Amino acid sequence: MSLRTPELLTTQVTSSQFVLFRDNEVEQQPSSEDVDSLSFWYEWIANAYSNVDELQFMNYGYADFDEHIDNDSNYCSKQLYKEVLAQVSLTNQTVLEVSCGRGAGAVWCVDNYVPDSYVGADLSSGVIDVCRQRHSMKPRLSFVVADATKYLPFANESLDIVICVEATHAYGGPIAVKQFASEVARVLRPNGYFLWCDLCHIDGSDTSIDYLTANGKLIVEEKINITRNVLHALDIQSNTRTQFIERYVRPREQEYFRLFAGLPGTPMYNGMDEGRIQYWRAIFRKKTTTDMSITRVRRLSFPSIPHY
Amino acid sequence: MLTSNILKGVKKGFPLKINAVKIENVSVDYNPDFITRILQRIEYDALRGAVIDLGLNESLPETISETIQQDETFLKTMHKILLEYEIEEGELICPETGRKFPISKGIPNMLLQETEIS
Repeated sequence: MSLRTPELLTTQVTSSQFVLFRDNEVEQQPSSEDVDSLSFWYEWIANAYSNVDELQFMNYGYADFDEHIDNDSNYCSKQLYKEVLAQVSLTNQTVLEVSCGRGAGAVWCVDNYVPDSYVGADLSSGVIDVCRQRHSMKPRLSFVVADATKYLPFANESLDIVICVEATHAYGGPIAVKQFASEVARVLRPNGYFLWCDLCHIDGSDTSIDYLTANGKLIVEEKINITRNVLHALDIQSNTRTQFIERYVRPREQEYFRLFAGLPGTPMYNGMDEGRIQYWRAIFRKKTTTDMSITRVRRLSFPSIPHY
Repeated sequence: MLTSNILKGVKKGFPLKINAVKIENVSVDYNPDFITRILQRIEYDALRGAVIDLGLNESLPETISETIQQDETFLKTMHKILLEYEIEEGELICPETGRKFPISKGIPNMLLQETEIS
């Protein structure tokens, strides 16, 4: 799920004296410094209702245009992972997923591809705790608490693949994203892949893809605008998500969950629908020392996807 | 898993030393192909050092040859070490700075303070 801009959130919080509840009913007042931080809101959502199956994925989801039925409330979220992975296989690879949230995507990847090892990293120790409780029996899957915008606890060139789904918009701006990109480039082996998707605000700011390639070490192999597929996923999930929020979420939190769920009518949804916000996915390759502009070491076969 | 700090690569500040306060045993299905493959990616000396530091009752040869990598007993020992010991509580220690990273409920916390980042 993705979040409103900090300015809008701050206004909301100061006027309604918002109080947070977690599952164990401990009340917490956010400090004024906290509420300006998207990562704070992300962490709050991530820690609430942590045992609910429908909330194990926290991304918007992806749907092909011929999909219309939402039988399984996590189907579109899994499809988003499938899209981000594109034709890159994780089998026998060492994989890191940054901002893995509650680990549902990690589990899906491990089950479908059988990588050699898959580490899920997240800034929030609370959400990593959820991962551990739910997924500790998966032998190739492990978790670590780390801040990807500062330091990834892996040796240079030690990973085949890094995955990051719908997270960089909450990292705190261009400098943080660039530092994250440096870390990704450092830990990837040459020709390793960085598989990414996220919102890009195009209102007067560069897209995240530019920040991720700023250091020149990650090369864009493929980038695709999937805004309309994400919107379609939000459309077909809107009924089940609305009902879920009305049934399970405490009344005073429902407005926030609606925002995070990107329901039709909310600012994020409208932004995407009206072209002010785009959603892209991309495959980046870690440059080798002998790279030339048109040489590709690993060939990928791309399905034909309409570009907008 | 003990594998979080033993992945091969060019490194400084690795391998992290492990101090364990609480270790649990879990049971994991044995898959010899997987063990053979992941052996290629393990920094064996670091792993052996970790096993000794932790005082695990497993004997590993000083070096591994091509032949021993086919040996069933050796592979089963590797399986046990890599997958069936879970460090629940303890710490990872940087060999250069002595900086300790806590392990709590099986999860290492690698967050750094602002002052530690150059």
